[in-house]
Amino acid sequence: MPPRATPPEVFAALAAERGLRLEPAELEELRAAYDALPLLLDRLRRKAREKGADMLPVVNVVWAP
Amino acid sequence: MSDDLCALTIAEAAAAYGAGTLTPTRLVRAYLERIERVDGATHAYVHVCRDAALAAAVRAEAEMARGSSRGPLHGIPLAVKDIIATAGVPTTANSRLLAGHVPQADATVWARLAHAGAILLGKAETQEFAIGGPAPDALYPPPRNPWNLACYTGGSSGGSGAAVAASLCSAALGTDTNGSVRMPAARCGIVGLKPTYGRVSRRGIYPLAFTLDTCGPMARSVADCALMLEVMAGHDPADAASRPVPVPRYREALSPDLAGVRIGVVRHFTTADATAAPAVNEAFDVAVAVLADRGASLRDVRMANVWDYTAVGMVITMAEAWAIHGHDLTTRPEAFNSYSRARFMLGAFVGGGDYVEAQRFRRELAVDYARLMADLDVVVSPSLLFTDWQMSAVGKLYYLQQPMPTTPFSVLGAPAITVPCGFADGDLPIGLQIAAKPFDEMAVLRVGHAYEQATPWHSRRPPL
Repeated sequence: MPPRATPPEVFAALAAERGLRLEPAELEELRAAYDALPLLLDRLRRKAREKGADMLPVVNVVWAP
Repeated sequence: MSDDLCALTIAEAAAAYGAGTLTPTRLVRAYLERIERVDGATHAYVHVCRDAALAAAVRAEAEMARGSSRGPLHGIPLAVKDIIATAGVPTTANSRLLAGHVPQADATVWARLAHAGAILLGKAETQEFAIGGPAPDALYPPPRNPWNLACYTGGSSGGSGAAVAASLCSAALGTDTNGSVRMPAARCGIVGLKPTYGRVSRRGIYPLAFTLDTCGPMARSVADCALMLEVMAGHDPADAASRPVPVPRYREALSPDLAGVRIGVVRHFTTADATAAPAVNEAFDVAVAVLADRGASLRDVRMANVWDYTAVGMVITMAEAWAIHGHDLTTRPEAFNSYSRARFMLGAFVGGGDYVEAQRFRRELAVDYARLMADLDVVVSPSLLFTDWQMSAVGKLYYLQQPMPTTPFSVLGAPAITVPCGFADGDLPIGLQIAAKPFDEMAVLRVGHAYEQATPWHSRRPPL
């Protein structure tokens, strides 16, 4: 999946909603990173769709399966 | 001669103390002199405890003269990552938010080492809050790789890695959330051990990601990591993740023989899921042959795609770190360095649902790993994808494009060690990663030690 391309003004509004105050250059860097996030998030969402209700709940996180 | 002393392992220094050929004050003085001469180039330390270390050395010497030994760490000078609280000594996490902060109490892990007689030589550089570096606007400058000062050590325990590799301490403490002990250890050509999640107390260590953070030893030999872990490990009710699991005598794991040891070889992290530099995969192939020669039985195995672990590890880290730092990031963002701001602020865009799916996926991965390990003692992979990492080429958010072979074992909560396994790009070290079942540090120490004893890589020192 190609990274998304969020318009700068839309991302600026998203950042402001979250209380983030950044200089324009840093805001633009963060927008590029935000647009790359689906590369990670879509893996999680795809796995959740595959497993559905069979996916294990969050308990005893790692060392006591 | 003084530099020769500085290169001693913990075991060698302890033996010299026992034989009466070396004293703690002589060793501490040798390190202080070398730090003065070398650390202007390496930037491993942010604070050196000159007077306190000398005073502690005098006390240790007096105890030894009375015939009172506290064990193999007695009188051993260590560096401690500057995110680990040390009573009366500045602990800043390399952040302007904590500039001048002097804790009143030791972190549990340092209290245990100090009780065993270890001497605090100084505080080693950390990326800001163990994530924000190497930023040009950091409170303290980033460390340089002792093998090539134009290159980065990796992080976030880069100061600890540089200090051990440059012979500026006997060994060091680091913390590891997604690879922050193993990555700088591999890049600096030393040994670094990430213990099982819950094995070593994090009380008094500034958190990055609650469900991933661990604290581990960084040293010039596997045996030294075993010596340190024996002291560091153990249940601490003050850390909610700490587990009441018995601590073995790790030194008993150390044997040059691997007969009967079953090893899974994970090649796809660095050949298919991501592509490592050819020299890294070649060194790994040679290392696998060495393990077979020591008597281990090996077979290729498949784990999940390294990007699956990366997605889980990064989403959990971003969400948990945002929970810790979100308030400061929205009220005084200028207090953070520019790398920290970018890395932490991305967490503002990770939703609650994403975090829950990451933890559920993590559980699936842990169950799959337990199945895989049912008939294996350890798995091995390269520790890094490449060696030549110029300081100027480290991007703020590089990990969105490039996975790390260390992350899988962080997500799994499993113990993993890196040991030197070769050099590339001139003289830059390559690391071999060895991981085992949760709480089986004995297995990674055994295999790491046997590999180390069969190869020359751990005995090489950078030209400083």
